[in-house]
Amino acid sequence: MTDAVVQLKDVTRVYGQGNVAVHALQEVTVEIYRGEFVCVVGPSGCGKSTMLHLIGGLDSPTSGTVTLEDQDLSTYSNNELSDLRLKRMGFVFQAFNLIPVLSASENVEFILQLQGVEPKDRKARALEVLDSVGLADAANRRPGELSGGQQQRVAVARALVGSPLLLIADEPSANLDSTTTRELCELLQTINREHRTTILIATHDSVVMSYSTRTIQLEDGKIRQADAA
Amino acid sequence: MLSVTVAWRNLWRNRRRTLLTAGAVGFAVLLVQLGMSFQAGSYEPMVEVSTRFSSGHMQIQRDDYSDDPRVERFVSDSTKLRGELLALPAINAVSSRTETFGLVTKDERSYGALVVGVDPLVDPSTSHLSEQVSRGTYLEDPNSAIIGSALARNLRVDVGDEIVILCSDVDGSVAFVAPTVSGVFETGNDTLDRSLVQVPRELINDALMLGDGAHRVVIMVDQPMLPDRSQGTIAPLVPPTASLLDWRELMPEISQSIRLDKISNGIVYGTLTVIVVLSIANTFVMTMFERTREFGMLRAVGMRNSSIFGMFLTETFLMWLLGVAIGYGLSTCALFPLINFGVGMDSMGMDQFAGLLFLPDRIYPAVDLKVILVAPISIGIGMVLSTMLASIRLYRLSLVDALRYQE
Repeated sequence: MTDAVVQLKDVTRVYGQGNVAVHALQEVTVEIYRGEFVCVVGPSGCGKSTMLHLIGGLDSPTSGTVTLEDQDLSTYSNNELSDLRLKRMGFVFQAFNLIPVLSASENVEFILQLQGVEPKDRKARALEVLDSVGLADAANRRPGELSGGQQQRVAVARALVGSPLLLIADEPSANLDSTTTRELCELLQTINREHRTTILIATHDSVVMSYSTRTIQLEDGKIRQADAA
Repeated sequence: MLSVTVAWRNLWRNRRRTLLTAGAVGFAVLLVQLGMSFQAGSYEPMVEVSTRFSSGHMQIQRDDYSDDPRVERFVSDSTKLRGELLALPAINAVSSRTETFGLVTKDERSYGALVVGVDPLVDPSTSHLSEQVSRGTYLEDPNSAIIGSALARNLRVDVGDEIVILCSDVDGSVAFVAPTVSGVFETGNDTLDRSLVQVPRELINDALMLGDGAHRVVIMVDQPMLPDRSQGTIAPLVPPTASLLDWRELMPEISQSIRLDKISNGIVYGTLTVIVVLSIANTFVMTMFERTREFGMLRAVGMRNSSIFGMFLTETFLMWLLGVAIGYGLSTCALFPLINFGVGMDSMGMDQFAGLLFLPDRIYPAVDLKVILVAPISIGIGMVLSTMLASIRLYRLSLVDALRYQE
C-alpha cells in the first residue's frame, strides 16, 4: 500500500482509429498523494481534461492502469464506478452543471439522497456545507438566480457534501472573473488544509496555479514537467 | 421524495411542451372514452331490443331443433320446467313457445308463415310483440291470432276475420286451427311483419298433439351481456336431450355485428393511441438529446444509469398522470350530460340505421371499468415504451461525450 491516492501508470488514451486517431494522453505516469492541491496545467488540447476523466472513472484508458487507493479502476463495473464517484470523489465542472430546477440547498441535498442519508439529516448537512462556502443566505435560490461565482460555490458545496477523498475540478475558473476566481481558490485551499481533501484541478489560469502545492504540466498528451511531491 | 420533486419540476422546465403533451394524452383519453362509452351503451339496448322481438336472452330447446326444426322435436313438461327456472335468482321471466311452419289461408289466398304459440299472459314479459299491435288487441281470446301487417295485407284480412292455419302434427298428419284475427302488429322488421302469426299455445298444442310440450323455452336474465354467469345456474335444469343456448348463438348476426363494431373501433382507437404515443416518443427523444449534458453530469456525480432512467420514468409517470387527469376531466364534462339525457339517433341522422340494428331511439353512453381504464393503460404502456426507447441513448452514450455534449 502506497500513500498515493491516485496513480497513473503508463496511461495512454487514444480517441478514434487509424489516420484520425488522436493521442490525448501518451504513456503518462504520475502519482497524487493525500492532501495535495495539484494543478494539471497546459494549453488547450494537451490532455488535461482527459487525465481528469480517467482519474474520475468517467473514461477508461486505451492502455496502462489508473488506480485509486491502490484499486485498479478497470476492475470496476459501471455501477461500482458510479458508487465510487458518489462516495469517494467530488466533481466541479467548468459550466457549473447544477440541476436547474433545484435550489442551491436541494442541489447539495441531492448527493446526500443518492448516498442514502436520512431526509432529516440531509437538510441540516446541506445548509452546513453551504454555510461553509459562504452561501447560507442563498440556500433557497435556484441556479438561475445566482451569479457565476455563487453557482460555482454551490458546485463546490455539492462536491464536498459527501466528504470525498478527492475533489476533481475541470477548469473551474473558466467562467469566473479574477476576483471570484481568487475567492473560489481560497475556498478550495481552506478545504484542502482543513479537511486534507486531495484537490486536483485542470486549469490554465495562473491565479489558480498560484494556490496549488504542485503542478503537473502536460504538452501534447505527455508530461512535460512535474513538480516533486 | 427529492427525486419526485426533481421529476415534477423538470416537467415544467418547458411548460408549453408539457401542456401540449399532456393535452394530447388527455384528448386521446377523451376520444377513446367517448367512443367506448357509446359502444358500451349501444350493445345492451341492441341486444335487449333484438332479443325481445323473438329469441329472448336464452332458450332451452331440443338438441337437434335448431338444425332441423321439426314439430316433434319439443321439450316436454315445459310448465314444470318454467316453474323451476323462475325459482332461480338471476332469471326475470320465462315463456314456453310452440313453433311450426304452416299455411295461413283466407278465402282464395294462402301464404306460408311461422306460427308461434304463446301463453298470452306470460309471453309479454319476454317479448315486445304485444306492444307492436297497431290494430285490434293482443291475444285475449283462446281462439284468437295476431298477424303481421304485411301478411294481413297479403291475405286481405283485418281484425275480426277468421283465418285457417294448416300444418302437420307430431304424427305427420294434417292439423288445422281456425282462429279469429284479434290484432295486427307492425314491428318495422319486414321478415316478422310478413311471415309471423301468433296464437295461444294451448290452441296450437291441441292441434299439434304436443300436450305441455314447447319448442323453445325462452328465458330472460338479469345480465344479458354476461350470459355465461347465468348459464352455470340454469344448466342443471336443462333436460338431458335439450341444450341451453344464449342470444349469441340464437342471434349470431347481432353477436357478429357487435364483434365487428368492437374490432373496427379497436383499430381506430389503437391507431389514435399509436399516433399519440409516437408523438410523445418524439418529445421524449428530443428531451433526451437536450438533457444529454445534464444526464452526463448526474452520472459523473455518482448517479447510476438505472437511477437516471428511474427519474426519467417518474417524469413520464407524472406526465401520464397529468394527461389522464385532463382526459378524465374532459370525459366527465362530456359524458355527464350524455349519460343523463342520451343522444337521439335521429339527431345523428341514424334513425334508419338504428332500426336495422335494433337500436333504441336514444343511446345512453355507459361507463364501465373497461371504458375507464383501457385508454389510460394503453397510453401509459406506450409512454413507458417511449421512455425506454428514448433511454437507449442514456445507456449507449459515453460519459465523456455526454459531458462534452453541446446542444
